[in-house]
Order: sequence, then structure tokens, then C-alpha cells
Amino acid sequence: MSRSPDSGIYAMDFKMSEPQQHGPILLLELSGRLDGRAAQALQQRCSEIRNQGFQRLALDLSRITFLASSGLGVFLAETEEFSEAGGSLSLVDPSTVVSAVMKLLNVDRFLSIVSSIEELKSSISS
Amino acid sequence: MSDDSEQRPTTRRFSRFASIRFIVSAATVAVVSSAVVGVGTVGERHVRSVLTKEIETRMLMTARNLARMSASSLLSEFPELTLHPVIKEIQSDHPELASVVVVDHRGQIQGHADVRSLGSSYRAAADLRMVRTDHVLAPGEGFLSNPENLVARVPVRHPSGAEIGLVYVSFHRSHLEAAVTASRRQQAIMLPLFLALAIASALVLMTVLLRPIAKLRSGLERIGRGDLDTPIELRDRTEFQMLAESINDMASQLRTAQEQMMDKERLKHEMELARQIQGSLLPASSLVADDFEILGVHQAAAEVGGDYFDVLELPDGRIGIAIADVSGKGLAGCLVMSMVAVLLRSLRRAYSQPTELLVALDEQLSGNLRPGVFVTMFYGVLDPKAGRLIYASAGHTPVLVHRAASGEVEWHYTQGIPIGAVRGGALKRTIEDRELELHSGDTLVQFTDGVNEAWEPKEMQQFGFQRVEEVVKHSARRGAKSVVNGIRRSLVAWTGDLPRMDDETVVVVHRVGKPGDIQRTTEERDLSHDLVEQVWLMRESGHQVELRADAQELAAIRHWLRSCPHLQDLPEPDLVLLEHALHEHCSNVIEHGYQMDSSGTLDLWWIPDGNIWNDYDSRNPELLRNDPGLLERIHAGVFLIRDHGAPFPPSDPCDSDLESPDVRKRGRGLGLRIIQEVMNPLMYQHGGVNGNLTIMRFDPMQTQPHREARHVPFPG
Repeated sequence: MSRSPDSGIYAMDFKMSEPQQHGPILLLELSGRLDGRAAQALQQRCSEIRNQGFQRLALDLSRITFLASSGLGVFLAETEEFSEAGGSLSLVDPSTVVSAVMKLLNVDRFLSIVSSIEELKSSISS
Repeated sequence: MSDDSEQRPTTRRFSRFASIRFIVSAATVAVVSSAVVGVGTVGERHVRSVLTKEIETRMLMTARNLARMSASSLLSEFPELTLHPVIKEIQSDHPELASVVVVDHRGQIQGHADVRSLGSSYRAAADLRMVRTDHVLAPGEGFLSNPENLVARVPVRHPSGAEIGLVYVSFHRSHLEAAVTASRRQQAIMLPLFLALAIASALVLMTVLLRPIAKLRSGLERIGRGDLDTPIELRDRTEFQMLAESINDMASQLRTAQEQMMDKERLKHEMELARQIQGSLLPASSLVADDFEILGVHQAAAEVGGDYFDVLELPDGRIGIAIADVSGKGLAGCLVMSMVAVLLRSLRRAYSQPTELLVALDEQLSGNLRPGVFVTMFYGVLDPKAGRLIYASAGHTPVLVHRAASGEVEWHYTQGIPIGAVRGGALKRTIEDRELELHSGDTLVQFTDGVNEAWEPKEMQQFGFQRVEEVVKHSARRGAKSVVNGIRRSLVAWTGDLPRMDDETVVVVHRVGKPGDIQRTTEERDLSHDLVEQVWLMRESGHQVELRADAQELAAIRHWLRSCPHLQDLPEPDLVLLEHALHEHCSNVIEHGYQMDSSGTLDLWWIPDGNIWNDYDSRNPELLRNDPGLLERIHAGVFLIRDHGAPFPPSDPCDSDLESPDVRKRGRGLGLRIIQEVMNPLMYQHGGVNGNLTIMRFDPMQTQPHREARHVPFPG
């Protein structure tokens, strides 16, 4: 019988940066494991940002190493919430793990995915 | 064992016995003795002091009188003539005085009882010392003392006040000692008298006070012999009365407990008897007639209910099928049940129609049933040749028929009232014979209410007809045994550890399908059950990890997967998706099963296909070289996951159609989708002795829907 080994970099804790203003867009950089508890924190932060009146939120997912269904659920739910509020939620540069899970469930079609914040800015200005 | 050996411990128990009388008497002697001696010593000191003072007073008065009288005598020419007779008289009156002396200012003795001393110089004893006294003394007066004598000294004064001589009155101390000794002797006489009195009082008092002990002792011995009905009768005003009452209370509680225990034993015995009677009446094995198989099972409740079933061979090859439920439990219910059984067996040949038989049973039984006791009963006559069943039901649960051709289930309800429920032949008017055609593969199920009314552990919900139907739908194809086993297993899973409140009886009539009609063999076993058993046994050959039921801990899954045989070289996308699927299952268990209690554990086993089906030895690398196709198959296997949380129903992701924005807004139900896309969940068996077991099959070659996901380019 083996005990759980040290889980290395994959066990990296979830981190959420301070919101950064990029023109009309507010960017949050996420990193580490986006599991159930992290999803709750993310959900809370998203609704705070919405309640403060920000309409465009972008989440940088390039350093996400794990995406639980609850995390994916937050992406889907907040995409709907932001669009109802007349804004949008964009997912910036998803990591391969994030892409694989999205494709697995074929939910990427409901999400707005961009490769970089610049791409997002230019698409908005156009 | 002889009586002698039984007596011995009692003797030994009392060998260090010390009488309270003895203890109290000894204590009294000690107290009285020390009191008398103590009082005596103090008294003696007091007597000595009083006597001394009295003697001093007398000596002083004598000396002063003599001094006054001596004043004129000493001034005369021959003082000795007047002083001698006076002193002599004083001494003869007071023999305790050692000497009385009058001395003139020159120190010559002028007055003395002995004339020979007259004129000589007075010499006081050398060891005489002045002593303190409480008396008020005039100047020149004083007391002197040595061990033999006490001396009072008083000056003789001239009328002018000048001191012209001294008077010495000397007292023998031996007189004082004689007086004290006399007083001590009196004490010595008193002490034994007091002691005798004290001991006698102590003994009498103790005898009176301790009299209840004998009664208490005999009462306790009586209780010890098992006589709990005779209370200890005591009329006492001391604490012994309280003690006796406590003992009587104790005995009465013992008696109650004993009675309860006996009742319990009696009940247990009665239950065992009921169980035996019931067991002896139920048919032991299944019956096969033509292409029909008839199988019944009975599971007795903790309190033995009155369930009964029977399969009877009738003339001309027909088969009688009976199932009944008596409303009473225990021995009473069982006796009614045995009456039903005996009557049924004796009446079965006399009545060819089920209705007639049930009415005849009602007529025979009603008179013998206590009010409120009734029997629900199904009786059917099967003609195996014709594939036809004629039945009647006296208030029994509806009949379930599964049609093999359509896969549909029919419920047949009847109007009949139970046997014995209404006296006077009312049953006859409510029941009727019904006819059922059973075609190839059809299955008829009849059961008692112990099945559909079984409660789940929280006692919020009963098993219900719907679940019976589900089980039958899934198992009917595989025959009577499979249905019976399916229902039993579902009931075990449903009720968990809850003790059975009612008997559960199921009778299944199954018409075996013709070859090619419905594929099935009589030996076919229940696959799902076998799978759990097989995988559980195979776990030892697998690779295991134990995780704490903590979301943080789940990060270890990926590392563990990489250490599993054959999964080391699994492509990264597959591994990532596999990790996600396992993570989703484990988080569900942590959230719903353990309710976030992180003290629980999760065990995960990876068992490669090769270990299960033995089609290759997964530990032999040689094989891979010889069979290139094996590399594709080698990553397949099953995951066995065990937890000990509360069982929870897996949610159905089909309820949530992601096309709907409202469903997406809830953001739920994705976890199970991940699991189902990556793996094939095979079994979820909860509440077993080994905990909750989940078996999921992983085969990257089989899981097509995530092909696109698997082609997400992974770095490295």
C-alpha cells in the first residue's frame, strides 16, 4: 500500500492576481489548480467585479495546471452572467489542460476564447 | 463439588471479622481511663494547692498569736516560764506541727516545747529557702521551705514597734503528702468502678443498636439464595432502616431485571421456534416444470413475520403457487401461518379453482382468527403445458408480469379483501379468478409487502413498486434466479444496516425462452454481481493509493497514475483527462459521501486488463515485443475506488442540456460528464461490507468522443 506521494508542481496552489486594467477590460491572471475550492473563490471574485459595474472581464488561463468541472462551471455560468449584464467574459490563452477539458465536453463553443489580451483589445476596438 | 467446598469461602470471608461491640468497648475503656486519670491528676494538683494554702493560713495565725503573746513575755525576766506551757499546749493540739520556737533578739531560744533547748542559739536548717505565698504578710513575716518542712516566720514586736524576737512555726510536709495520698487512693477505687460501668453501658448499647444487623444479614443471605420476593422487615430508627430500604429497593430492581431477562429469553426462544416452524413449512428448492421455472425465497425479519409461500404439485401436472402474509408477527403470526399451510395442503386437491380454495380457506380460518388478525394471500394454478395461470388474490400485493417480447411490465390489481378481515363470507363477493397467458421469456413476480415497504436507513422512503419494477426489467431476461437475486441485492443495498422490520418473500414464475428466441442459459450468472466480486478479489494484483478525503489531497492522483503499471507511457493528454475523471469522482465522494469530513479515506486501485482476464501477463515485457497490438490494449483496465462515506445517488447529467443558457448558468453536472467521456462507469455498489465500491473501466482506444480532446498538443 502506497501513501499519496508528493504531488510536485501539479499540486501548485491556486493563485489569482489583483485585477489589472487594460483599457475597458479588467484582467485576472489565474494559476495553479482550479479545483472546487478555487472555483468558489473565483466565482465570488467574478460576481464582486460584476457588482462593481465592470462589464468586460478577461481571465488569463495560461498557467492553469488543473481544471475541475466546478471551475469549468464557473466559466460557463459567468459567461452567461456577464452577457446578461451587457458585457462579456473572455478566457485568454487557455493552457493545454484547460483546452483538453473544454474540448472533452465540447463546451468551448459556449465560451469566448482568445489567444492574448491584445487580440481581445483589438477585437473590441474594431 | 461438595457442600464443604461451597462453605469454605464463607468461613474464610469472616476469618478477619472484628466485633463492633469489642471495638466500641475497647474505645470506651480507653476514653474512660484517660478521662479518670486526667481528671485525677488535675484534681490532685488542686487538692495539694488548696491544702497548702489552708496549712499556711493556720501556721501564720498560730505564729501571729504566739508573737503577740510573746511580746510581753520577752520583756519579762523569765519569758520561758510563760512561753513553754503555751507552746507545749499548741504542739499537743497540733501534732502535724514539727516545732514551735520563740527566739529573742539575740537569737537565743526563749520558748520551746523541749525545755532543754531553752537558752541555746536557734539554728534554722541550712536548706530552708524563702518561698512565695499568696498571703498578705506584715514586714518581717515570711515562709521558708525545704523538702521536709514548711516554716512560718513572724516577728515579735515591742509596743513601740521595734522587733524584739521571732516566732518560727514549722510544719511536717509528710502530713500534706498523707492527705494527698488518701485522695489518690479514693480515685484508684473509683477508676475500676467507672470502667466497669462504661464497658457494661457500651455492650448493652451496642447490643441494642446492632440488633438490626442480624436481620439485614439474614435478608442479604436470602437475596443471595435468589429469594427476591421477601423484603427485609426492620423497625428501627437508625440508619439501618435506610439501609434496609435500599436493599429492598435493590432486590425489587433485581427482580424486575430478572423478569425482563426471562421475558427476553422467552421471546428469543419463541422467535427461534417460530423461525423453525416457518422454515419447516417453506419449500426448500425451486421447481422446474416443462419450460417453467418457479422459484421462491423468503427472508425472515428480526421479529419473524408471518410470510408464507408454497409451490404445490397438483393432479394432471398443474402447479399450485401460493404466497401469503399473516398480519401478526412472532409465534402468533407463525401459528396462523402454519394453519394456512396445513389447510392449503389438505384443500388443494378438493378445489380446482383458486377462488374456491381461497373461500374455503376463509371459511375454515375465520373462526380461528382473533379479531384484527387477517391473511393476505395469492393463489394461482399454473398449467405449464398451456402456459396459462389462473389466479385469485385475497388482498395481496398486485401481480407483476414482465413481457419478454415488449420488455414492458404489467401490474395486475385485484379487488379481493384479505382472508379473515370481514366475517360472514364477504370474501366470496370480492374475489374472482383471473387468467394470465405467459409466453416465452415472460416473468411473473409476486411478493409480500415486506419488499415494497422496506425502508431505507433514514426511514424517509420505502422501496416501492417502482424499484421492484426496475429490478425485474433489468433481470427478467436472465431468469427466475436472476430476478430473485436482483430484488434481494437491491433490498440489501436499500435498507443498509437497518434490521428487517418485516419478512420479505418473493415468488417468481419464469417461462424459459425457446432457443434463439431469447438468448439465455439456465447457468447464466449475474454478471454485475460477479464483476464486483471479481474486481474486488483482483485488487491485490493492482496498484493502490490511499488518499485522505480532502480536496487538496487529490492533487496526488496524477503522480500516482504515473506510477501505475502500463500507465507510465500513457500519452500526456490521456493521463490528464484520466486524472480529471478520477478527480471528479473523488470530489463527489468527498462532497456528498463524506460531507467534507476530511477524516475519511479513499482507496484507488488500478487493475490492468491483463490481470483481470488473464489474456496476458502484464508484468512480462517480452510479450509486448511479440504482440505489437498489445501495446494498444495494455493501457486498458479498471479503476476500483472504495470509500466509506454515506451512499449518495449519482446525478444524471442528461438532466442538464448544456444547449440551454439557464443550464449553463447553473454550471453544475459537468463532473459526471467528464467521468463518462473518459471512462466507462461499470458499477456502483454502496453499503457493502467492504464500503462503497465504484468500478470504472478505462480504455483509451474505446473512448471515442474525446478524440479531439486527446489531440490537444501537449508540451513535451
